[in-house]
Amino acid sequence: MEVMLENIIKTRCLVYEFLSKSFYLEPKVENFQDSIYELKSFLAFNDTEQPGVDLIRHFIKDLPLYQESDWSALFQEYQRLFVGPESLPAPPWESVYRSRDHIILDEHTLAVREYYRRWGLETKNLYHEPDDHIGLELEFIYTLSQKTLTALTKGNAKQANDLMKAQVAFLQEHMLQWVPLFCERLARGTEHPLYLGSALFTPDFIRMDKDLLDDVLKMWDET
Amino acid sequence: MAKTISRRSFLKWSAAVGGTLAVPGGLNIGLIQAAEATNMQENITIISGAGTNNCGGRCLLKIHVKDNVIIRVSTDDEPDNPEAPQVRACARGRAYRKTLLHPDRLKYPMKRVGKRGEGKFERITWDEATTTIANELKRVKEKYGPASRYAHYATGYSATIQAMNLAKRLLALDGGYLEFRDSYSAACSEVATPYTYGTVVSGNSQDDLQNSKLIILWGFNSAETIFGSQTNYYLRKAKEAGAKIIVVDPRYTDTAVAFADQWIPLRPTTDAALMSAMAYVIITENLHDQTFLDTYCQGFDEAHMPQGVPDGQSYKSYILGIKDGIKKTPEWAEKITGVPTDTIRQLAREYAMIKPAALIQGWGPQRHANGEQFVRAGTVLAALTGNIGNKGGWASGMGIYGRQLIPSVPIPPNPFTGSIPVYLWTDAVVRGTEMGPKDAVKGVDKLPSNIKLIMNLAGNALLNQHADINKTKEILSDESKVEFIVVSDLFMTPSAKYADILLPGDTSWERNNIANPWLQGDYVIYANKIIEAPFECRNEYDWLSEVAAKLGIKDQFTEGRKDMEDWCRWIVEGIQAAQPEFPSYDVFKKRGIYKWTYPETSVAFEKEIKDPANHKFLTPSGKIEIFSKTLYDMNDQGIPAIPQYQEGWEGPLDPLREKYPLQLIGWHHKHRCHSIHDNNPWLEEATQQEMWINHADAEVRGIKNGDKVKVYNDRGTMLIPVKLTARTIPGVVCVPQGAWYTPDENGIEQRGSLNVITNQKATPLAKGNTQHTNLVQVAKA
Repeated sequence: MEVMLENIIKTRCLVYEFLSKSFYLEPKVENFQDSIYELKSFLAFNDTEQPGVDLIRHFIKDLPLYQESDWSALFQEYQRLFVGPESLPAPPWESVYRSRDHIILDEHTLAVREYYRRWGLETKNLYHEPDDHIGLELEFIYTLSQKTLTALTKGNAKQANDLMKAQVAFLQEHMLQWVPLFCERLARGTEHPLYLGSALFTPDFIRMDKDLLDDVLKMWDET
Repeated sequence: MAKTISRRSFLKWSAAVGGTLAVPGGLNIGLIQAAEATNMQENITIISGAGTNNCGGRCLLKIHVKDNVIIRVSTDDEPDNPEAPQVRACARGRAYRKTLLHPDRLKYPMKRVGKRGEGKFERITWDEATTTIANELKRVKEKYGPASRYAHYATGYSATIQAMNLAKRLLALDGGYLEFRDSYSAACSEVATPYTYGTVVSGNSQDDLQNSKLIILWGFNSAETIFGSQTNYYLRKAKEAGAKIIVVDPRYTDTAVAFADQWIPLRPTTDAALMSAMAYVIITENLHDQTFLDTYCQGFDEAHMPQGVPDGQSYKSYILGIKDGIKKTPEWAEKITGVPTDTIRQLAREYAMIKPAALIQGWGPQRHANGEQFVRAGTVLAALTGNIGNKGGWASGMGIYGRQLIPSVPIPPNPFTGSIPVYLWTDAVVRGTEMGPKDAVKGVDKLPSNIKLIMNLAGNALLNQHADINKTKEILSDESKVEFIVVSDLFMTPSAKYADILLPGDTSWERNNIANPWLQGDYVIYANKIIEAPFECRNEYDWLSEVAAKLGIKDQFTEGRKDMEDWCRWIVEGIQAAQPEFPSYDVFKKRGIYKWTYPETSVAFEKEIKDPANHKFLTPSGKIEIFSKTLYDMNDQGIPAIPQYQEGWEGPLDPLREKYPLQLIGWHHKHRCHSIHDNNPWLEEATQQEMWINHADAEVRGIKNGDKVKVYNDRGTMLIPVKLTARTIPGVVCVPQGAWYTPDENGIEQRGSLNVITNQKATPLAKGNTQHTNLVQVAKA
């Protein structure tokens, strides 16, 4: 298997893991600890002036210097953006953006749940949490991507192909339908480099990613 | 360099770092392997659910659900028939999905950080929450006594299992609490009606409306408020049967639009004056039913007065001005009410002569400084015209009737016997130990302590719905006064901001409950659990059981019933015991509703009128008491023995009008059920939060339609857009109640929350709320 493809998949996994954790997990030291080594790899993403990347690089550089007060401020920002109790500036669930009623737990949530199920996955808190949280959708792409790498390593080209197609489809049918709007709102609602950075970075990245996967698939078809 | 992420830059990056990255493993953030053979529902199931808010309706909702997701909501589609009309949802019922699945739902238990009222919270575990609550209940009880603990009026959901009542149950089992009496809905009606009839059960079943030839809807707006799910149906039927319908209201309400042959506007707070003038016309034109009055009533004339009362105290003497020298003529009333004398005369004559007639009193006009007098005057008019105990008549007053017995979760006897009128709860915080009988404290001579702890479960009357928001804010913010406040709700309401522990409730679709009709209706609804509660939302019964366990009273609190459904079974057993025709639990649960039909309409006081010798009224004299000796013995000018017109304060004759010339009233409108749905923008399309002002009042102030205006008095200021309309009379402005208090940084209300304007002064007898009695000035903003 091409080393280049392997590197692409591993780097994609790095990105999706970072974004998934950033949007979903409480920003505690432990959640960033084990991937500090890997996070430093972001600093090498420097052939771009994309503002989101810039902010993320700043955040990662600052992380080792974080004091208790910085963690506290970060935690409070996470709570304000994703937990409550006040109205969330940018609710992080797909159905809120795609349904006429702008609610959680509607047919769009169900469609995402069915997607996960098709690939043998479900949420930890099934039925007690909307399946279409951005963090979970990003984790889903990560998981398919990781499985793709496993398939390729085992020489299972058909499986890898299916997994890639699934990622493209999910990006197209779900994430690209709402994540840009969500991120736009989030960017307007925060100044913290981690969240503003992720908000600016994510739509750009997933657009690029989907096109990239499309072309990889085309290449495979032709060979 | 590009400001986007180009593929080239990404490939360059992946080539640089890919080799150093570890092989990705499982992430374990939020996704796991799916369980074997997950029971994925292929089909859509339709489950019967309900709205259980404190709404005048109890609508039946058919909820279409697939794999724990609500796809669609429709309403009662059982065949419509006059004996069992459909229980259909209004605009609010249909908007439930949007409110109950709003992304802003409270999701996790929280504790306050920062000062109370600041609105700063931090997530905690449920265990920490219930431990804190149990500890505070204990600490406050030990320090100040059990009566320092108060479960506040909270009707966010009203059903046989209701959070507020569960809190009282817990507190009663834990040594006691300070009880409240009456309601924000109908304090004067509840308290005053029994002085006439000995009971609040003064209503006929609604199908009886079809028998009325004249229906006067006095401050009664069922088309908008939904005063019983089937009321509008029966009004329509009555109209089809040829009844004349008159609406008496300062506003030309939707009810007037839908049903009225005639709209009679009057100035707010003057209802008893209009009624007195009606009585004057009826009496002087000899249209009253003297036989009825002689047979059934005490106090109409001097010949039928109780012992020990000097001359001149009868109702007739009052109306004819024999005692006070003021004849309650239409001319006298016109000056006060603004209603033309001819209109008054015609109204009086029609009510007296068109038989049978129903004078139906709404609850708006009793939320005035002199609310009791309106209530009593209405019942007296019914007596004057003999419209009591007959088909098509209406005894007026509170107007409750009930033909079934539907139990609720019981509240054990309160070890502390004292109670306050609910509207004075902030008084009990500030000066509880000074409160006694003159504050209508009952059951004890005086309160042993101030309120030091409040449980406010599923209600917004801690701040938003209680009067004088600025004053209440100040009281609640003082952490040395109330030391602990626990709030449960679905959203961060203005009341929720004052919590010390803030808990996320579940909705009526996430638990099982049984709902009886709000005021009347011969049906009962099983509100099924449709979906799992999301996040860590939890119903109050669940976590109160946990608190009970920590207080060592779990068995007494739960009686072995582990959840709300267990209590539903118990309630059904109670319904079956009283009404053996009732179906089994499973049948009822599946169908979602049971409708009783009766061959006859139910008429209040039918027996007392048909057979007075064997059926006395439950009054001290056994008669309808136009004159109440009990009230007379109170010896209080403000609490007359017969219904009188009393000016009160901030009425049209108050000299304060020089400073604040306009009367301001609220109303319940389509957009909300009280303050529920205020965060639902879909309903804002149906009706906007705006103030009604008459063209004359607007022009004189240079105000045009849609302008934002400043509305203010000594108690507060609000900004609100206006609608210029002839549907309110000159001198009266109207603001829909229930908007969430939304102050700007200067404390100026931005959303038109009515209670920045209202007064905490209570009515004389019931100590009821006076939230429609306000004088304000209005100016262009």
